[in-house]
Amino acid sequence: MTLMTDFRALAGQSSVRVIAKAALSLVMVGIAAFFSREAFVLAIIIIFTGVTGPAIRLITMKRDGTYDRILVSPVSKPRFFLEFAGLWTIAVLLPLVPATAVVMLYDGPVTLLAVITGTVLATVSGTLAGFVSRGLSDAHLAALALSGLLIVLTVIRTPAAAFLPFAALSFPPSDPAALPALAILPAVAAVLLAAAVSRS
Amino acid sequence: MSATVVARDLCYRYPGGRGIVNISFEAGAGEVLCIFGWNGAGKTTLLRVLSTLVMPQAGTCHIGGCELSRDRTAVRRKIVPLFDASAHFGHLTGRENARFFLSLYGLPLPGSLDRIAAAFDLDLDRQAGGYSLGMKRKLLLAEAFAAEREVMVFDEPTLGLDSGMCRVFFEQAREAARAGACVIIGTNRIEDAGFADRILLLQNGTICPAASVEDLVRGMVRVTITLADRELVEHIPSPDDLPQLVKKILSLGVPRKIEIGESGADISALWTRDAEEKVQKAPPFLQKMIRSLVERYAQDHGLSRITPEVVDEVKERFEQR
Repeated sequence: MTLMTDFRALAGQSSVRVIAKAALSLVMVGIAAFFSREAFVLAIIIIFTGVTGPAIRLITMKRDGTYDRILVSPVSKPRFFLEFAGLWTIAVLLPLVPATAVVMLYDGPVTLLAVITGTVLATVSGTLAGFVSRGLSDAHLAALALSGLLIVLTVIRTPAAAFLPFAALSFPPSDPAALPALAILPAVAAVLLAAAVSRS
Repeated sequence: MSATVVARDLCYRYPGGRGIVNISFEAGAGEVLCIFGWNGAGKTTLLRVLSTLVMPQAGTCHIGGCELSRDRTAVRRKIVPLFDASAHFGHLTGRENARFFLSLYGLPLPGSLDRIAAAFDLDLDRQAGGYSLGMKRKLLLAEAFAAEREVMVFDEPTLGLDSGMCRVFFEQAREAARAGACVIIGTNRIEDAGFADRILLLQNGTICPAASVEDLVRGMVRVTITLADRELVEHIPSPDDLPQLVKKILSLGVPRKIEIGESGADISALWTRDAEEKVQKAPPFLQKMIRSLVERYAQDHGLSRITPEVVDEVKERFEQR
């Protein structure tokens, strides 16, 4: 019950919006599939929704005072922010289930791992952006910079591509042994987030 | 009475120079302590330090035996702060909000919440987004009392509450104090200060010797503000502080009438006909307030006549502030 309340409080969206997002992402991925760009479009959707969602939510909480109330409570801050990012991962993934299923049809099951780890990376980055930003314009700037970086790393084939879940969506790895490497970056981002918030 | 809160030489300065300087005081278990200060006195800064929201730049503060700068998490387990904001998730009901915020203190939803909410005449099953400012404030208070912490820190707790609900708040505060809590209230309302066991007067960032309500009222200007649903009586140090008060009251509703307390001496004979006519051009509900402000100004400046220029000057000063 508490987890459900936490989810609704921190990452909750109305069912109408979830359905609308699911429909919109499905249409976009469906159209992109005609041009063999379905995985790339899905990666862009994850980056935008995963980075901006938690960042803007945290800023809203800072403005309405709920953030301060959480900050002065005895709850462990690393635990809270990791839970926050976790709840946002669910909130971002939920409407993307149909679109992910379509991409999996084309690109195989490796997509699922890349989508999950990519969403974790995006939401943890977004949470970090919201944490360091003082206001809405700061958050927009941070979210834009992070999204831009992730998009660039998605479209350019770099040596680091093996570690980037979004690059794995655009250029699926042929070697299954490379898959565990995808989880490294989200884990590093989570550790960074925990370290950043621990002094709050 | 043992001291639950012991502050020694607390300092916190904002870059602009405002803040608190060398604040020392003690507050004990079972006590309702009022920290009284006008706008800008440093009251909210002090309460933010006590709430662990900001760390003091100098000095020490022990809360329940734990030092604030060294063991912040332990202090946070002992306090429940309430700030001057209506901080809730609008899309959740009052009960869901209470469940969320009390879970941060590791508390399940206590049975006492319904009793406290009933005392505040609050419907917990409505969406918090639909609450009025007063109801949001009541929900914050209900959550704070239900948390039953050792130290309760309230910043302007009665903002948005009518006089009946203010009384309910102080009854709850008294009950919490009887149960052993130390209740610290920051306010600039003289009526609130009257309910406290002890008053500390905060002026220009420093604590002045223990004050009484009579000390606070002395030299103050009484302002009566009539809203659509209630009448508020406030006190301000000078008419110059009226714009700030009106700004604050606007969050509760648009004032229908603002009356400023009598200045004592009869100076109505100072008015020239032109000045009278100038005031009569203002909306009727403002005329009495303008007259009072102008008369105060004339009295403070030792003017022998109130001319249209004097009215303009007062108007300009009011608008500037």
